[in-house]
Amino acid sequence: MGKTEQLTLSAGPETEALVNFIFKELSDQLVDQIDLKRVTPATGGVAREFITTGALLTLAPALALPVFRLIERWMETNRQREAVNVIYQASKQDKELMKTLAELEKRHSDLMIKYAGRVGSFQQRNKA
Amino acid sequence: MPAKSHVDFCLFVQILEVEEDRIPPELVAAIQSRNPAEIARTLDSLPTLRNIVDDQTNLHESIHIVQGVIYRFLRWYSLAAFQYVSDTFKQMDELTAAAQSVNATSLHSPIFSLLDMEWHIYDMSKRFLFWKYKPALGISITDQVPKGVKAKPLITLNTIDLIENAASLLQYKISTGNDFPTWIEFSRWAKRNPAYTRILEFVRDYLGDGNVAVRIFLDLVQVAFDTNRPVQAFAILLAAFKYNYDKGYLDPILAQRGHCRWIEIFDHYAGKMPLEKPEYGNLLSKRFFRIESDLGLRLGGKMTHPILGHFVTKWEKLEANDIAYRYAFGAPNGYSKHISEISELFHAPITLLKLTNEEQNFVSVIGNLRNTGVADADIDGTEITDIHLKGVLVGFMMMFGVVRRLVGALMDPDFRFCHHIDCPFYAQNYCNMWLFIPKKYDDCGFPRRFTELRGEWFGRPGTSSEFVLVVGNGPNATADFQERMGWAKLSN
Repeated sequence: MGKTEQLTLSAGPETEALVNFIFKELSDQLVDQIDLKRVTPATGGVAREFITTGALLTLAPALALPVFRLIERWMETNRQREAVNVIYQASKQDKELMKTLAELEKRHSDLMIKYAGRVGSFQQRNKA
Repeated sequence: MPAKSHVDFCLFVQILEVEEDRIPPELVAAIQSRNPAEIARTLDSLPTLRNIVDDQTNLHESIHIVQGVIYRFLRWYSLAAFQYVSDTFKQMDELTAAAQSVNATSLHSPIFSLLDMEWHIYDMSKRFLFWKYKPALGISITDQVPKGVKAKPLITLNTIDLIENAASLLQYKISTGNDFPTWIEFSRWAKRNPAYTRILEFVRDYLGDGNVAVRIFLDLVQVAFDTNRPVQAFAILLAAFKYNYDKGYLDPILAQRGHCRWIEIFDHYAGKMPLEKPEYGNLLSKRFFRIESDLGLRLGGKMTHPILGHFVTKWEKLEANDIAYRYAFGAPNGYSKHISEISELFHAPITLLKLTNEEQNFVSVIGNLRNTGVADADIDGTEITDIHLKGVLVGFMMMFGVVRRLVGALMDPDFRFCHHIDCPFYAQNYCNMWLFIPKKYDDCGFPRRFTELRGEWFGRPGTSSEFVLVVGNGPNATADFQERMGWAKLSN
């Protein structure tokens, strides 16, 4: 299945710890199926220790839920100081997944999930 | 976002920031005493720095010290840039007066911004229908393609991007013991560890094969850094490789397992680059040239690079006597014997530990000051005492801190050692490399030492004719640089 979904994560200074946790928990096979791009601030002309302020995961729809489950596990085992923000850009509307994510948000007050469709996908079609 | 551990490419002082929760109780007690001798004793008693600094961070930053020694461009840049620091320090009064006379809000120097100057690489291959009959890359520091030129943008990158991506791949090889990873193996590691991969991914996409990208990347970058324009050389060498790779000329070499000495291949391609006569005195030279291994450049005719000089001299001799050293960092595990003989390269001559406890900072210096260029300086046969050595190095660091703050380059703008926010000098942050943080800011020695050093500092006689400082804003600096570098079309 193609990598059609995009998941943008940020957890303040603990973003890298969250990304690390997700990819260390996933099997090699699943890791290979997810593209990762880290967002880093400008270095100011020095070679600086890696700072991750955000992460963009591109993955197949079937992998979205396992990743959300890992985010939940990380939040349960880590007392992170900053809220975890997730923007999930789906290629098509999945009511079951939306319901699960809403429940997830309810259980964790410091987790904010924005469920959005890509431009030209279900959101626009819904409007029509 | 707070500044973190880093290395600058001019003075090559390694700065490690220690997170408060990693400082062991015995060290906390020492820090609270603010007694430097006590803190140094406690640090020495710790079994290893591993207890207080993340292993991978330490390794990654140490690799930058290695790069500073083995990459000819960095050897040349760091020495020449330090000379410019010295010139700027000498000319500070004139520069600030000039800036004030035109109400400039900041000063910019293309020299100090050289490493993070963005370059744009374009695909300028000629095509006929679907047939690509003349592969070519173009490079520019502007994103505007000249009129009448057909070019497809491929990537925007700077010199530090190349350094960081190479450091991440070398870090992978050292930490996993695997010199010849597949793309998948490297990619898994890079997802599970913070790593720079953007340029590696570009090479993978350009060649259409990730396995080849990770095989050649370190050697490709190392040879690109044999020139005064690493990004331009990187594009030329990559295009040359791509041409030969697509034609199948490299198949017999690619079929071999193990280390293929890609450096020899890239050296061969580099020999065909449009090289000109070196102009070592000018970091902004319009010429494109190869940098010799042993430049023999000395500051004031007496001193190599103040920090890296000792290692550089050693490395140049080793490399001249045994070519294997040139190949060693492409396959660090296979060349472990060579690497172990120069393992001291991984230990920066000067590391500054920034220790924070209860919102108070303390800076501790670790390393072997005798492994510096200052210690090796030839001062008419006079032996440099330890006290003199410390004094000179502290002065150089202070001077570097003042100048980089003045020109707003070679530093993370958030970086500072001091915690005294009420100090009148705090906001200006010219003291960003002043190591002695007192209990009360009224007792700080920075203003006095700064005035003394300004009075003592002679620098080079006269005004450096090569020194260019652009007064104005960023776009002006870029325009000046653009005028110097121009647009270059590269083809193989």
